Amino acid sequence: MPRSLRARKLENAVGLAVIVALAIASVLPLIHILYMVIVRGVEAIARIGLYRFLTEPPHPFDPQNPGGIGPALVGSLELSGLAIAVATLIALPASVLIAEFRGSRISRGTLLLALTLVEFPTILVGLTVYAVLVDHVVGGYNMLAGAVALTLVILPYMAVQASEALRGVPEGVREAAYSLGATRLKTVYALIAPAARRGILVGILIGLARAAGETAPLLFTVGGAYEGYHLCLYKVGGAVPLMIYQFIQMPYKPAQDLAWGAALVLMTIIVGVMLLARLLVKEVKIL
Amino acid sequence: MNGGPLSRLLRRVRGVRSRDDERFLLLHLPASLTLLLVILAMLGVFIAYSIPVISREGFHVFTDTTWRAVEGDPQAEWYGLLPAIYGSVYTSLIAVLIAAPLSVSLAVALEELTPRRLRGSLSLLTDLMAATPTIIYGLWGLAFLAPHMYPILSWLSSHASWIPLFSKHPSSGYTIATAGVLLAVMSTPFAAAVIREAYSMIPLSIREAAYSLGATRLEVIRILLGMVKPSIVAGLALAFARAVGETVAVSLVIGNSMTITPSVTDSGVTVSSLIASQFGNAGFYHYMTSALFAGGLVIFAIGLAVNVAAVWYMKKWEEKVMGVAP
Repeated sequence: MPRSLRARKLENAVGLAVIVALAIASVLPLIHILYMVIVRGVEAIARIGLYRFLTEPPHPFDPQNPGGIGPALVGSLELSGLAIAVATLIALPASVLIAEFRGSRISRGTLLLALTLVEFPTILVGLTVYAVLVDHVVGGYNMLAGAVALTLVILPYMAVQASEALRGVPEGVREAAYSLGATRLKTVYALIAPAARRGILVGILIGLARAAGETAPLLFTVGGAYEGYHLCLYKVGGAVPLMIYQFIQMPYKPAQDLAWGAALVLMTIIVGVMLLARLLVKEVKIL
Repeated sequence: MNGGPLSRLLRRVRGVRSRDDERFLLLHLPASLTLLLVILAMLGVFIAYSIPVISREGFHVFTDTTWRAVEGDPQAEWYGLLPAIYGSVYTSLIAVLIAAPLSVSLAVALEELTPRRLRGSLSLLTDLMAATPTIIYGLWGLAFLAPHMYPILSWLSSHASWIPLFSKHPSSGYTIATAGVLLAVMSTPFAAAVIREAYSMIPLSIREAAYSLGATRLEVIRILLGMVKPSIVAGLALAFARAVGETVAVSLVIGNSMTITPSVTDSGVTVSSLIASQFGNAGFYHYMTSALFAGGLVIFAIGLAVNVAAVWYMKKWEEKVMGVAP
């Protein structure tokens, strides 16, 4: 027997309400996280002033003068800058291969490899780089290992993202270029890639956000040194997320405050990058 | 190059028709090989570094519950990873169970129920949720979630201790339940993104057909969700793999104690949190580094299996729905 219309309408109302409630519940944590990071972060940064917080080294045991996150911030810039540069240089040709030879076994294999690596636990990347670069090549924690680990973490994502951007370029562009006698290399890098530049740039931006925020790949690679500016690639160094992880576990108030201030700086960078990506394209694909 | 064995090999790739194409492919092969090399290097490292502990303990390293680190006496050392493996799977299962209704609702709400004007800012919020570094979630878990979970878990364990889930009275807010909830929060936007993508690919005609038969909105949603079921499975599988590999956030809230317990109100340990917390000291012992790499091998295997299965499953489904032959 068919159910009455009234029962179905009631079910509809209740069902939709539950869906909306659950959806709101799933985004509430983020709003609270943002609120907490802003409140505690501002409190920590205001104590010393923004400029000094961003430039001075930390004094995690000194309540009078807690210092700032200068060395960690510079370390993060160095690591993410290197990672982005190298990852782009490898991800772009990989994505061209995926997009240009669509349907071939090599394209599908490369895409499957990249998709698998995207979701790979980043701690494993960190351990692998530790085994090769820290344990065998350099013989101690070093910034180079951190940069390599971050590169490997963001590389597959950037390759997938760029290949999707390239796939969206109309075939007509290629046909026009070929008919004018352009080589394939020229067609792809002078016409197709520029046409897909927004999507590729978004991939680079999201890669940058990830490189700036990842902690696990740095745990066993860069070591964590914050007293002075360590820029040498073969020596220990620090980064903002790693500093947050290490300082929040210290039983000292100044150290924990520094962690919250660093978290606010990190979140500001992430939000800025995300907004920039959003300006470039309507749909940002995180996965 | 022309006519040589290399050329013949390159010509077998679909889309290669001329010498120009051959050169083009050859130039791009190294990038693709880099990805392959990375996976092989990872596998090689984990196997090589696991050998010392496996050759000493055999497969007991994966099935034993004893964790004995003795400095200066390698013969007395013994490492069993079972509590950590159990903790990884347990916390990730909790996370997926919580994330399932949340991510499906989030995806449906964004695709179906959000007014067009709000959709942009709401999806920016979910994008931001996915882009927020895990250490920030960890910070929040440590400073807010754990202290606020404690009274709830205490109440549950004193009023419902007959349920094995709540059999232990929590000694702090740093428990398996806290880790599970935190992981659920973190993985919801990812599972939702997978489900959303599939949901938005369903042809409009199906929706119109359902409405024209007099279906209510909820009934239409049910029909569409039935169609994207594979993507829900795949999204949750990816969420599970992500939860298994998650390190810093979990290690800040789980309490890091090597126990196997059904009680979510007890503290526990996961493979990755064990690696994160023990790796710094592992150099003092003879076999511990190797044991931790063996743990990595376990996450490696779980991650690879779940990922490959999910990606493959999704591709199959995409091909079916979009009508694109491989």
